[in-house]
Amino acid sequence: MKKRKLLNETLVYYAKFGIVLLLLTVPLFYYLYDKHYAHEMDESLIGRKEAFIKNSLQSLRIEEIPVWNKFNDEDERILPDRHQCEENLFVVEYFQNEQEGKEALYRVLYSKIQIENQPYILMVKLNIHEARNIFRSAILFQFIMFVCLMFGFVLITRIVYKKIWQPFYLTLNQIEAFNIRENQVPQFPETFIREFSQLNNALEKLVSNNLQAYKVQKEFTENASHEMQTPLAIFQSKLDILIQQPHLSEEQLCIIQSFYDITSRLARMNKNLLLLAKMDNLQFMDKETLNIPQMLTDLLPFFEEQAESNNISLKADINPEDFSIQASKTLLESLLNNLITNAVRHNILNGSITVSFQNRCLTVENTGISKELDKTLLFRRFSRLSERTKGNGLGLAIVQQICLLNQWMIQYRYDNSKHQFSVLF
Amino acid sequence: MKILVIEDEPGLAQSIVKYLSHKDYICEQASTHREAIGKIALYSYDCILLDLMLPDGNGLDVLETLKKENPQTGVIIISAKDSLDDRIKGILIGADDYLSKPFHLSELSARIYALIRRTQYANNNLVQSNELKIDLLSKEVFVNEMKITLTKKELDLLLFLIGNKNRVVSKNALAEHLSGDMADMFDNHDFVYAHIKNLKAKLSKTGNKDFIKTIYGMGYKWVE
Repeated sequence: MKKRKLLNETLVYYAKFGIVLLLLTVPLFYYLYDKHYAHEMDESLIGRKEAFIKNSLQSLRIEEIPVWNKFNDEDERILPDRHQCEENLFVVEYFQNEQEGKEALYRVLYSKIQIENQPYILMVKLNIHEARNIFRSAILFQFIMFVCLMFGFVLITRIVYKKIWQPFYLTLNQIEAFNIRENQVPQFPETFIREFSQLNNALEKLVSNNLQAYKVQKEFTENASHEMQTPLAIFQSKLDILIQQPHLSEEQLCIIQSFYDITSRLARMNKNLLLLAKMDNLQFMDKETLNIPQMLTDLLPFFEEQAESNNISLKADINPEDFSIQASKTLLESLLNNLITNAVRHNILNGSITVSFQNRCLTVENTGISKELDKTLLFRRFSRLSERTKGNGLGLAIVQQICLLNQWMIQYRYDNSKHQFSVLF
Repeated sequence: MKILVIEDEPGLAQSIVKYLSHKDYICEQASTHREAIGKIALYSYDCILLDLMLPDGNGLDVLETLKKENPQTGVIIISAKDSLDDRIKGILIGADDYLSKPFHLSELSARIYALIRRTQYANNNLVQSNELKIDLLSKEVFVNEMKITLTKKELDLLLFLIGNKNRVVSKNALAEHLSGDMADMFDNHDFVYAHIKNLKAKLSKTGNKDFIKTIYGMGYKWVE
């Protein structure tokens, strides 16, 4: 959903309100004005009719009517009563206006009169063209008001809003810049607005609780891993002593060997957990200039040996470009080791591995199970995607964490029945 | 050779003492900071194994005291904390080596062997065992004055085995020694077997009797 600014959001409502008001008030204004004006006109028409009755009707003869009509004001006429109309009839009609020479709208009063006992109609009319003009001015006036109002709203919101919401924006910036790893509670600005002050207090509490929990969790993993090292060391040393015994049977030796393998696994898992904990604790800040093609060339013989003993062919396509990077050696080595080890470990019989480094991009591609791996689980800690191997489910979590820490981009692709991991440095 | 094991975990200390004690080495133990300071003040040792986390103090203090009184003593730090800081601090104060727990006793023994050779026979770069002579400087190996050519890994293996002579060395320990950090990436230790096979073949070509004894399914032993 597109996000709008708070400021604009308020303005949209002001504008909507303004438009609705304008739309409602203009017709209302017109209606009220029109009603009042019509009433005034009708009164004035009645007044003229009464003046006619009072001043002229008594002395008027039937044969004087054409003359009266001719010499009188064109707004008053005596017409024969053809339709037996009612006493007083107000209508709105178009008439030819002789002064302006075009049709104009009139308010007309037809009233019954008696001239020498004969029924006649007195027509009195008033031009109402002014009402239209007034209506037009009213709209214009309202519109100007609206524009002024909106301009005022914008100005006020720009100035006042900035002032009032400033602490909110400062808090927002602080929270956005907050990084739990930096272990620092942001300093929120003092504010005289109660809600903001409340917000700041709540945030401060939330953040410090989070930091505390994060710290406890971090320390726990690291301490637990450290505490495990000593029992592991004791166990392993006892095995080293045990195999010195003369006359051990083959069966006993097999059992001891399996103990060794299990200790190795435990030690490895512990080491990986410790590595993750240390990364979480940002203990790998010592960076040095490293040449990735060189490191790969140094590492590959070991993996070639490993691949060979698993009947896997390992191809390397490393562009010896002069590419150096600032990183922790331990971490970069761990990343390379984990990626290539996985390629060996999760391979198939007579499979293949291609390790390439081109244009800042390391790609490790290998044959394996013929199914795309679940991308949502791939990098999660302890989410082992295959039951076949003795991996500890931390390798890719470590790789991802290293990439995150160094802002490198890692991608997984399943293409052409090959699993491909690429890291863009 | 006298070795002092400063380690507060009795189980580990006992194993180390038991493994190292043979005709060449005499081992003593100290399990606290106080005991360690007392012993290094009274006696002199050829090599000291030092745990950094002692119940009543920091191992680095012991190292400092030692280096003031007996700077020629070789020191190997054994620590549960594989921290770069401690490593650097230890080396700066004068530790010769750093081994993080858990470690194989054979690895420890090989390192002690190398350290004592360096500190005690400073100008002698010759390692001798049975009919074998190894010139560490030129990396040349002679069997009965006959030169044989070994790869870097094979020489490494040979020295490791000699550093643990007459004791069984597990395949796991050899694998970890040969491939350093990467050994624990794999469960397959066949590559150790391949290197040992080559080494054995090269040694036997000189008509030498088999010094490397294979212990079924488990490891190897250098017999002297």
